[in-house]
Amino acid sequence: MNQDNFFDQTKFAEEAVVEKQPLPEPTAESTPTKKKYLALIVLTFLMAFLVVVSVLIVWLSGKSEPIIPTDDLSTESSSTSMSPIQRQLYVLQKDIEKSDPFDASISFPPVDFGIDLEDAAQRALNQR
Amino acid sequence: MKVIGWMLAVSSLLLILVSFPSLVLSQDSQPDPYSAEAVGPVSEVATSTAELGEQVNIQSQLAQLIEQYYQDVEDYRESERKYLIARETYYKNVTLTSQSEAIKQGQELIKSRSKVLHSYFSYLQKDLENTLGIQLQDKVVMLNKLGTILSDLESADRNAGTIQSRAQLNDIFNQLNLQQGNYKRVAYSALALIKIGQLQSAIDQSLATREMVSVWLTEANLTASSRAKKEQGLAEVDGLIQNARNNLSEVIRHWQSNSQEAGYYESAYKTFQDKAEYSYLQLRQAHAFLDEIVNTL
Repeated sequence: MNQDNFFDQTKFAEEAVVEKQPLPEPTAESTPTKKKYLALIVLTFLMAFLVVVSVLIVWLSGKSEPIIPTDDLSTESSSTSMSPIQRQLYVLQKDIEKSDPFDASISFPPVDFGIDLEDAAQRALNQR
Repeated sequence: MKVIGWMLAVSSLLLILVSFPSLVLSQDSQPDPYSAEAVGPVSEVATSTAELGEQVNIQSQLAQLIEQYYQDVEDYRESERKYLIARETYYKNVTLTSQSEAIKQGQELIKSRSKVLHSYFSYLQKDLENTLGIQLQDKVVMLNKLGTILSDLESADRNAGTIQSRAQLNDIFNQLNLQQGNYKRVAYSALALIKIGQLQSAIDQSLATREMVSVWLTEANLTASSRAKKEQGLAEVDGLIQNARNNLSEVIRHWQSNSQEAGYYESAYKTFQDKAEYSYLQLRQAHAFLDEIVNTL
């Protein structure tokens, strides 16, 4: 059953009518507007060029070699942060820790040294 | 035309907005080698980049060998499981097909067994090579033994591919099984020798540190009572280092007399660990005293 039959649709039909509005007549301002569009397009291309350049910079900076700390820098940072005697104590501590006889080292491989391959027929005879 | 223009404008603006943060972040995302994280904790700074690089390289190589070893252990276990199943099937069915399968799985087992043993002895070789404080002759003899085992294992791996009969496979199994004693003796002897070298290095470092602290003490501006306490502490350190040295000499003598014997297995290595621990504990005490002399007394 069509449910639309239950409503009076004439009111909606009247509201649905859209008044036609006349289109604006072409004026003499249309040529400057085109110029504006052209300027906008040029600007857009310039911005796109900037984007491409910035992407290239990002890509090239990512490819550059990382800076390796120099010998002087390392020595300087260690000497400024730690006195020689403290450093010596630290080295000693590390050496002693390493010398712990019960320090975990990898165990002998769990290899079975009793494996063989007997003759099956002979084996069956021996088992009888 | 207008629509295209606006679309281009909006898209380029969006691109700029997206690329700008990445441009800024790209400066931050590069690890700063001078930052605390890149250099490491202050206390872990090595004295020179060359030393640091060398230590890192050795540690990295040892870590790789350990990783390889554990992978090989897993592979060996899998090969052993497959071989035992194939052998059981052959014993049960007694057919040519099951025998061929048992031989095939046996070949794989020999290969994986050689590989896991090779990884283990390669690790010992690398560790021994980089351990100081070992008498040169002992080191050379042990490295030669490890080298011989490694080349034997490489041959076993190559020969595994040529096995064609059950009897041939069984012979190779028996030959490899006979190597058990030699392998274990060399492995535990090498482990003990590495520990001896590490203990000797720790004693040498303790002596160097003791001398450094002694010089520092003569130059330091201290009260008479504080100086007296520190000098007393240094005398204690001398005694501890001497105890460690005496004990290590005894441990080395014990190792030299026993490592050549056929029975230097795990139990002998455990005895070595018990004996060597005394030196280690004396050195730890010496370090604690030195630290106290410099930092607190």
